[in-house]
Amino acid sequence: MTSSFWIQRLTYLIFSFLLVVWLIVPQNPFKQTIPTPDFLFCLTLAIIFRRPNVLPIALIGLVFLSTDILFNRPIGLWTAIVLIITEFARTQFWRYNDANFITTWLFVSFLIILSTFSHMIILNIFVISQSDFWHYLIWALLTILIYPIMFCLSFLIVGFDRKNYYGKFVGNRE
Amino acid sequence: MARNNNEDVNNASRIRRVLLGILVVFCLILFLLWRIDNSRAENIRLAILDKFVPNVSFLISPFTVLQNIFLDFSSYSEIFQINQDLTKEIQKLKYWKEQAIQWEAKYAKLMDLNNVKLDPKLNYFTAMVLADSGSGFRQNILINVGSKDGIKNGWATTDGLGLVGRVTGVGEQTSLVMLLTDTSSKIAVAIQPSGEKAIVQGDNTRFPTLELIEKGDLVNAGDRIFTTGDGEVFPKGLLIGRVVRDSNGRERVNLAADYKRLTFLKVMRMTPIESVIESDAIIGQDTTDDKETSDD
Repeated sequence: MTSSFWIQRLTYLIFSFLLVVWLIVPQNPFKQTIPTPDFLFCLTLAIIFRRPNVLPIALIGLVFLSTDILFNRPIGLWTAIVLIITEFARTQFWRYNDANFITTWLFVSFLIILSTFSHMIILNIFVISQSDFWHYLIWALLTILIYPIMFCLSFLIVGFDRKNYYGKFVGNRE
Repeated sequence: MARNNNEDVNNASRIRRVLLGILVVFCLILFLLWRIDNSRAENIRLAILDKFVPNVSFLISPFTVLQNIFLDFSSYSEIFQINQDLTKEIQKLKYWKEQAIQWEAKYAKLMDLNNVKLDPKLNYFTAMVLADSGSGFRQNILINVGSKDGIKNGWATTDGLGLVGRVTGVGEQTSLVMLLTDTSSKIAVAIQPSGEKAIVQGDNTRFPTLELIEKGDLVNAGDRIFTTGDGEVFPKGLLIGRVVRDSNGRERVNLAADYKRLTFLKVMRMTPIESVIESDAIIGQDTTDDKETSDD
């Protein structure tokens, strides 16, 4: 089981790397009209809701800190928010363990909106020039909308099998 | 046995919590450092980008190729229309070309009559766009020239037609260009033909806003916008775009540069204009001049 974990972590890293490379392609036509949703955040949440024990905190921290640097974002802030939110998602995992997709999606939307606006508010407190409220709102909505896609992508990373984590997180159900 | 398991789980969760705390605090400290010593943090970021992007450019290129295929394919559907439009446009352009040639001759003659010295220091070199900023909240691009090519912070870049942005960070092989659409970008401009002064400020949309227009009545949609050279950030008279009005009646800029297809940029090599620092010096010079003339 541990070896499969490492493979999954490696796949996650490769996927994040490809996403980053795709996002910094010059003049992505998709990016010109609308703000780019945070694919990586969505993917991370999707994986955490399917397998909370695949992604260690340090790995998430590493990936998001490097994207902070590469995407010209304020260094460290978004990473801190993502770490807290994902950890919170992990503690809430047992509620959504066998909930249907829509319920999970609603909860994910709540998390995304929470993180987006805490990000916005902190930037405001530190007087960092930034976009207006609508830009953030559209960004959060787009990130919510791409969740199903990232959910499907998470199958490629952690597989279809749901058995592994049951015993570990909610006691022996079967 | 069960107790042991529970203890293990408790220990594990405690370690997790401590690790999480350390990481979050570390990130927040990084954020504070970034905020306090912004220029140094940006320099470090640029140094990392400088190492990273040229090394993964071989990975970026397949994405670029795919994207170009997609763009080309989508343009096939409209090719007939585009062709007709182009033919019309060529007709118009021919007329303007004629005019331009005549005016150029006239202009040269007038310049000659006035004995004007053109500033020889303003020239340019061409750079290629390497990468885009990945997030929707920053409007930056990375170009493939850096300090080893003699680039300096603050130089203007155009795409040949209109202003694109200015160099805000210089690495060894790459440098960062902040586009006019970035929220931190503020540029003093003059709107012609009325000559009104204003500031072009980016707001993450394709059409930056025009702020601080003194007499808004004098500004019409379609007026052309140029840099003023105020603040010695940009050379004077670079075309930025045309005035448009959005649905709220607010003035915005329709940028002349084609932001959809920025592949090559002209970086305007600029040496700072010698500025008058002490006004006494000039007066003193004037008086000596006067003396000389009076001596004569």
